[in-house]
Amino acid sequence: MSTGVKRETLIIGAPASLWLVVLLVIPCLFLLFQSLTPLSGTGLSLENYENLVESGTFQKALRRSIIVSVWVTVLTVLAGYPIALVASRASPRVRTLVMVIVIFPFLLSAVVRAYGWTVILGENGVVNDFLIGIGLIAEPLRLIQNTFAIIIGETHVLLPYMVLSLLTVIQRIDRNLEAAAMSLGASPPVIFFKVVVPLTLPGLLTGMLLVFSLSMTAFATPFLLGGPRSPILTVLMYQYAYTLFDWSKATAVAGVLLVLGLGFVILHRFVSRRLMRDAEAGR
Amino acid sequence: MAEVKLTGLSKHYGDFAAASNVSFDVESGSFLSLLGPSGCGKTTTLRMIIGFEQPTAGDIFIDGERINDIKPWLRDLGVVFQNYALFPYMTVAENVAFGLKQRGVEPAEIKRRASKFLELVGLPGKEDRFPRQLSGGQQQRVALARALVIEPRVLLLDEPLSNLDAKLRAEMRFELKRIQNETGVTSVFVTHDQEEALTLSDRIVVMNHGEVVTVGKPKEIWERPTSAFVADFLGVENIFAPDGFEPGAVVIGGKRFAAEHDGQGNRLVGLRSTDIEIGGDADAGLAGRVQQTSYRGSINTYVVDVPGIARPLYISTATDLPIGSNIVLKPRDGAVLILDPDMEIAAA
Ligand SMILES: Nc1ncnc2c1ncn2[C@@H]1O[C@H](COP(=O)(O)OP(=O)(O)OP(=O)(O)O)[C@@H](O)[C@H]1O
Ligand SMILES: [Mg+2]
Repeated sequence: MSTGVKRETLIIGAPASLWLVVLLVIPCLFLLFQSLTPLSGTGLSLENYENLVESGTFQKALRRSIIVSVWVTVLTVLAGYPIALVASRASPRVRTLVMVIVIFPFLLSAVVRAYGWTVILGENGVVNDFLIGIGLIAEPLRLIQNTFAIIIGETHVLLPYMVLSLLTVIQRIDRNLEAAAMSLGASPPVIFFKVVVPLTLPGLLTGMLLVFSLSMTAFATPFLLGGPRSPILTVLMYQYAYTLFDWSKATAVAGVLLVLGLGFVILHRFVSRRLMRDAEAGR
Repeated sequence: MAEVKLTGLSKHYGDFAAASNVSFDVESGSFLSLLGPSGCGKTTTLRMIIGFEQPTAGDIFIDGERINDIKPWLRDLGVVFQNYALFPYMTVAENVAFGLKQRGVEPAEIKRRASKFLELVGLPGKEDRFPRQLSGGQQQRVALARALVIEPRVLLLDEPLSNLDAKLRAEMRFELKRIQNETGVTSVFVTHDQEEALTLSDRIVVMNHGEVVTVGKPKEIWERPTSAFVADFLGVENIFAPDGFEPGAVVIGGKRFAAEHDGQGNRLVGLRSTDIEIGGDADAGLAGRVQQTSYRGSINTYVVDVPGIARPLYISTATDLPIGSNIVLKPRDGAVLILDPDMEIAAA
């Protein structure tokens, strides 16, 4: 196995690999190269990155990206556990229903989803109508075209990743462990924190990494729901490239996102491999 | 230490009765086994006592207190599972400490009690190991310590020895008995292994199809099984319908043999292969012809065709009997078992 890639594997994998190299690796390298090419003059330098890091817009967008991603991660964890628990323990029919509801956003285009949230959160949306209706507020709240809307929209889209990550580990829990804990005096909340959470830690961590990195690099939902005044990194890159035609800054943002993305992939592989090893060892 | 009492306990899944009208008492400090074949409702009964399953009818009492509506985590019961069910991410010490922590015991006291019980189960000094670093037998000892350290009112064990290999199982059987004697904890032990039940128990409850078939001391159940199912389950090889009954005797193959019975008809008779004597007076015994032998070392088992009995008889004896030889056989005095016909007898 460890003696390298087999010849057959190489032959079968060649077309797909070629495809990836041509359409993904080369453009990425080209982009990195561009981001390292200063506007003035020739040669390679970090000038574009220096300019970018100094700009307040970039700093704000970076902070916003991180805040959004942290919130989305936390919210998907909070919503994901109960959903995954219900799905794993309910009758087959209820489980199917839950899974369909969870997976459904996957099947919709980002535009449809964003429109849905506009209907719910907009100035004349369901939420504002209701709050005004019961007299809690007089003026409609601004719930859309801001960071809040991005967090809600992203949580909606990324929840399935968290639920599926948790579901795989929850289904593997030996129910006797919960039974043992219960007989020893642990009430259901104690069982959740002392038995279920430790046993599902691998799934929880992979889910969190996945959701955080997907949220950092998402574009469509933040673009549609966040509006131009509260860009996250990806939206800022779009604005530099297509609104301001500032290609040097756009490529530098892209470079940052590329490095972040690679970082998450490596971290994810490292963490999941470690957790797998521990799980096999019976940790 | 506490006494347990079940009255009419039932569990239905839809139309299916996993346990039906199960009633028995466990005396304080005694060891009771639930014995029966796979699927007979042993685990279901145990899970209702623990509280993982809500009975559809009947009551559970511990020391006279009805516990049906007490939450499982407040019942103060120790449970040991077949697959040990140790928390894999906790050390042995942490596993044993779990129940005491839930009860808010001081750390120093937890430590003292945990090592005391690890000593009791024969695992001193293994506190810092993880379960995966222990053998199956050792893991089951930790599980026992974890269940006993909370000083439960009742200890419940669901086939705790079934995952161990034969040698370890025999060893752990004695260990279990010793530990139960030392702690004096009231125990309910589920098993499908008659030998385990016979050697460990003060009393045995035999179950079949969700119902209690018989309750008794091991000696009673072994020596005087009352029904065909119990006799068959305890390994009585020969169970068949006799020709008829006479006062104080049973007629088999045209011959009378002494047997106590209550005069009711349609009973079956049972005979252990080891309870059949060979030789003696041809008039008083049954004539038979050896059909098959199976060599087992010092004692061999023979299949013997006896005219007048629908099925061939199994006979175990140290005597060497060649195939085809004609023999005279007769049950040992008082060895004929009179059995309720609660089981279909397979045709010969
Ligand atoms: N949740 C359930 N739904 C439906 N039927 C069930 C359920 N749990 C158990 N049963 C059925 O109830 C019967 C008794 O099960 P139980 O687990 O008590 O058997 P057991 O005596 O412990 O058997 P074994 O020796 O194989 O462990 C079985 O036929 C089983 O299929
Ligand atoms: Mg069972």
